[in-house]
This record gives sequence, C-alpha cells and structure tokens, in this order.
Amino acid sequence: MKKYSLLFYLLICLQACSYLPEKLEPNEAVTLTENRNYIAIEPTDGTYASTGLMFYIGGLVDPHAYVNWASEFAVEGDGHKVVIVKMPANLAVLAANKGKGLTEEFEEIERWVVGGHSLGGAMACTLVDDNRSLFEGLVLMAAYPASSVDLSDWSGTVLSISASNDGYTTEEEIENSKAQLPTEMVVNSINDIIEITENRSLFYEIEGGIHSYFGDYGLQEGDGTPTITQEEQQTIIVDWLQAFFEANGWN
Amino acid sequence: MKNIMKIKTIFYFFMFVCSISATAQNLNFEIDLFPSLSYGSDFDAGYNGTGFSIEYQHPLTEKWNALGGIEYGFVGWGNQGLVELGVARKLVEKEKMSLQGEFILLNGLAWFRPKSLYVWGGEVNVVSVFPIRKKSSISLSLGLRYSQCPAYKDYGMINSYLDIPVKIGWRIGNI
Repeated sequence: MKKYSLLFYLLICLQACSYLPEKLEPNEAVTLTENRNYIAIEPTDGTYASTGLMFYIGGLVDPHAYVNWASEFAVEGDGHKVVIVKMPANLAVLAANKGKGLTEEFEEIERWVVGGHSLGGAMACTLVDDNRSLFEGLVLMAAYPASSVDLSDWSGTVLSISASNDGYTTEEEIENSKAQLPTEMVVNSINDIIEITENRSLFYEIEGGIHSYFGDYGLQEGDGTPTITQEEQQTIIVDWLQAFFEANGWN
Repeated sequence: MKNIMKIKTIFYFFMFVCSISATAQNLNFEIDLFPSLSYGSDFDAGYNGTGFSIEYQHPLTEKWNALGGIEYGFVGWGNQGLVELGVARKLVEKEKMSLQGEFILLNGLAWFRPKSLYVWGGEVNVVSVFPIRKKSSISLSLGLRYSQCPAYKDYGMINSYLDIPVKIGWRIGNI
C-alpha cells in the first residue's frame, strides 16, 4: 500500500510544473535587483514614490513572468518601487505572510500596497487581513479573497482587475467576493478615478482579456480565448494601477 | 505528451526501485532540507528549498558502495526532479553508530511548462547512521551541494546555488 501511495505522490509531483516566463529582455529604464526572496524593480534614475507595490505571484507561475508590466509601472508618474515576491515552489499559499518580513527590508518605502495574481491575490488578501495596519492598498488581478477572509471593514482601498474571457476566475466569483471587500465605488472608466476615500473597492473588467495575460508566461491550459493582445491587456493594467496610485495620493 | 513520457519514466524507475527493494532492501528514504550559502557569485545565507529522495546502495567492496536514487523537491527556480548517481564509503563503523561519506552527481530537470530545463549538480555528504532495529536505521547527513540550471539564466538572474543539504532518513537494509 505504501508503494502505491508513494507512486501517487510522485505522479502528483509531476503535475507541479511552473509556467516558464518569456525570456528577460534588457530594459534600460529600470534597475532590477534579484535575490533569493524577491525581484525588486525601480527606475534607473533612482527616484520613486514613497509608496511601494509588493506583488504575489500566481500559483505555479515563475516570478519573472511579471517583470515586464512591473517595469512599465515602475517608470510611470514619479516612479515606483515594485517588489515581486518569490514563493516556495512558486506557490504563495506556502508563505502567505512572507511580505510582512520584506516590508522591513526597504526602509525608504513609507507605505505599502500589496497585490497579487490569482492564488497570489488570494494570499495577498490573507496577508492584509493578518497585518491590517501594514498595508494601505490592495490590488487583485483575477483574484478574490479566500472564504475565511473578511476585509469589508478594512480601512484601505482595493483595486480589483479581472478579465472578461478568463477561464479560471469567473465574473460570478468576483461578484460573490465583493461582500468580503470594502464597499464598492462604481467607476465606469479610468477617467472616473479622481479621488478615492478609504474603505472603498474599485472593480474593473478588461474586455477580451484572459487569465494568462496578467503575466508573460504563454497561454495557461484551460484559459479562455483572448480578443486583445497580451501587450494591450498589460497596458490597461499599468494604466489602472497608475490611476489608482494617483487617486490615493501615493505618487 | 511530455507529461505522459515523464509519468512513464518515473513509473518504470519506481518499479525498478521496488524490485530492488524486494530483493536487496538497501533503501534510504530521506527528507532533504537545503539551507543555502550563496547563489550565483553572491554569498547570502538563506533557505533554498526542500526535497524528498529515495536512494539505493549496492556494495562494491567492503568499504565502498554504489549509490543511486531519485529526488523530488523545490529550490529557487521551482520544482525539480533529479537522478542521483554516486558512491558511498564507510568511514567509521561501530555497533551503535556508523559514519559514511557520499559523493553524488545530480542530473535532472527543473519542471516548467511548456519545456523543462536541464539541471546538474554535485554533492558531498557525511552521513551518520544509527541502527534502531535489525536492518533498520535512521540517518542524519550534512553536506555541501552545488547545483545549476544553465538555461534559466535567460529567464532570471540566479541560476546556481551553493547549499548545505541537511538530510534526515530512514534506512532499510544492512548498509
């Protein structure tokens, strides 16, 4: 019996392949620093806002898959520091609170916003729930909180970006999660985001977007069919992030 | 298709290990922890990952054994499966404890979709073996391991690690 259990475990392990990112292209506009815990991105000139974005990776997605759009965001406005958190086995669920320790490594950052894609977004919610005063904002990409997490009374602000053709995270799941997040603030376009008061959530669905295009790792099996390009989806993501930061006065 | 190939390979290897265990029973089941000294050319102590391995040893001479096994685990670049090939030498042998030195070559794959990447490495361990019953012992080992995933340099900035593997195992057999 033990032999069969072991075989079963080995077969499960075989499915634990991470998604390989696209090859890293040199980008002179940003400086990348990588160690065993994170990839930090900042504008090459070294000037950036005092609010940093920490990002949790999607389940089994290599952290480098988010470097491209994170680099674009890093040079927006007054500049931003983005910290993509590496996770054991590329699964944020194994170290949901890792971000807490990392905030102390960047003394120049006064305020933190944490974000995440898919499973990483769910774990970012858990991180915020466990450390409510440590973060001022939460960015969810094709993600929603776990059922045990209730952030409805959290004083921070939330930006939830989803994709209409997502084959993994459905519109219904996003809709159902709204009760676990701060009160929804209805916005019809990016131009409506002028000022956000605390304890509000913004929801935006990218028309024609898919789950895989929140990073650069090819097409995930079982995902929907996109009607926009990866570049277009990521431009929208960066624009909304920038508008969200500006509206909160985090620039 | 590639997954089916991988499943078949692991299945046949597993059956091979089982058939050996049925006859020779010199197996070691280990939990591997990888505290780490450095990555790339940077010395920066930390924790690199965790693994699980099955090893088989076959006597060559009175003091030397051939060693083979498989390891599954995760390190900095993600999940990986490795094949271990090496030799072990008895250093000290006493009734309640024995010491063994191991020299192991590692070859395998970092498991990525759509294509996995080749990983290689080498490892030296000193293993303490404490018999708990007849043909059953627990082992504790400490070593030094270098591993590299050459092609990962195109995707990330860190493609090699120098680790201090700590392994806790359960041995079945006389070795």
